[in-house]
Amino acid sequence: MTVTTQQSGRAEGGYLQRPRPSGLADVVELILDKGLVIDAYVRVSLVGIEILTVDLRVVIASVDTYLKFAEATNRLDLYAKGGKDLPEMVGDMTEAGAKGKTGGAIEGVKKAVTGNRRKNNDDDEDEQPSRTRSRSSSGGSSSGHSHE
Amino acid sequence: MAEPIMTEPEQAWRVYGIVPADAELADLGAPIDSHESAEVDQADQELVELRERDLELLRHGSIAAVVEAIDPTRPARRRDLMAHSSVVNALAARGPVIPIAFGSAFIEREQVVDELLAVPGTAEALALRLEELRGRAQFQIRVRYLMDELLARIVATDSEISQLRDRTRNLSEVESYDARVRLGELVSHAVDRRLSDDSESLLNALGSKAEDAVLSTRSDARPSLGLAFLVADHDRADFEAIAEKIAEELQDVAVVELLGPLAPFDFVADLTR
Repeated sequence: MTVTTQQSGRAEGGYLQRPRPSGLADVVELILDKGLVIDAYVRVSLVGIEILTVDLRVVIASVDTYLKFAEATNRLDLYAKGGKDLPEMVGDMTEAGAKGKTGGAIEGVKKAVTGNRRKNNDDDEDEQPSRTRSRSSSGGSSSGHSHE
Repeated sequence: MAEPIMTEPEQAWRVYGIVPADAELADLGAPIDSHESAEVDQADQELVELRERDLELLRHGSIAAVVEAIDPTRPARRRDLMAHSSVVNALAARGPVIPIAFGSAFIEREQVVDELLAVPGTAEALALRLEELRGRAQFQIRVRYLMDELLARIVATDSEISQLRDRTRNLSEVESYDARVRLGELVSHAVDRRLSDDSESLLNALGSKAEDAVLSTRSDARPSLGLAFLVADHDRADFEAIAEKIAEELQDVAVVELLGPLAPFDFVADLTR
């Protein structure tokens, strides 16, 4: 396999984004629990990382999910979506507001993953991460995905 | 060896991947010439880390395992997971590799050969799979829906939802509870249908230029899809063109990302004994 064939792959100005997998969230999504499982003698203790995946798989109760979807739907400003009557900024603000609301539990999980990473860039600190610590870091302010 | 001694082992051998026996590790930390300027900083940093790793190649017949001595008493850290990713992806950029699941290690160096590479049946399956993977890479498509845009389309196309929405919007939370649960249920099902439909059509469209395709992640609560494709080098340009077209088609409702080339983590699970 040659890597030099990437030439025009990352088209400038296209609709398709070509990020480089970088953050922990990317790597968790792309490789954790994947690959060939072998009958190895040791399953290396994965304390810290297991907590992250357990959190990633949090299933929120269905009624809560429904209410979150209902809330998000009700908060939509369909007129602002047309972008005709209102300045674009209003639409943007509505969107941001609604997004903040709908994230819910999953949002918290993302922050537990990405927020934690932002906190300790020097990852020596996460040698013995505890559940409490991973949870408590979910109070970060930014949302969304970790790469640009 | 005499009787088993139950002490904590001081060393273990982490396995990163299986490669052809003629693979070279020497250049693993060397830059690949196609790195683009914006990525150079991060890529350089990863390469420095790769050079500093003490990777070894244990060969048997036509295959080899890429291993590294580790301290088995130390819990795996975030850094180890990131390293697993960059080592295996660097191997994949240079030739075929069967990625080993993160977290696997043997106590004895010899076990890697005796209990993995030289096991009758397994050895042949690994060698065969390596040949099948030659000239192929995994590409990952990630579709992240814009929640408001997605919901707006659902409201616009479903009269029951739009009526319920009108009815519940101006009622108090208590008065509208049942109706809101119903509204949310309908919206949730509509999101589910949309994701299933998109997932199927993307697997079909992109799968036409891939040798294998799988839905690897999906979230309805934060609507998104992750699809993995095994793409031959000669199909890559066509595959990318289809991905670009899909991104354009979905632009109003989702952000579409293409990651890769990556190691084929999603396409080796069937090799277990």
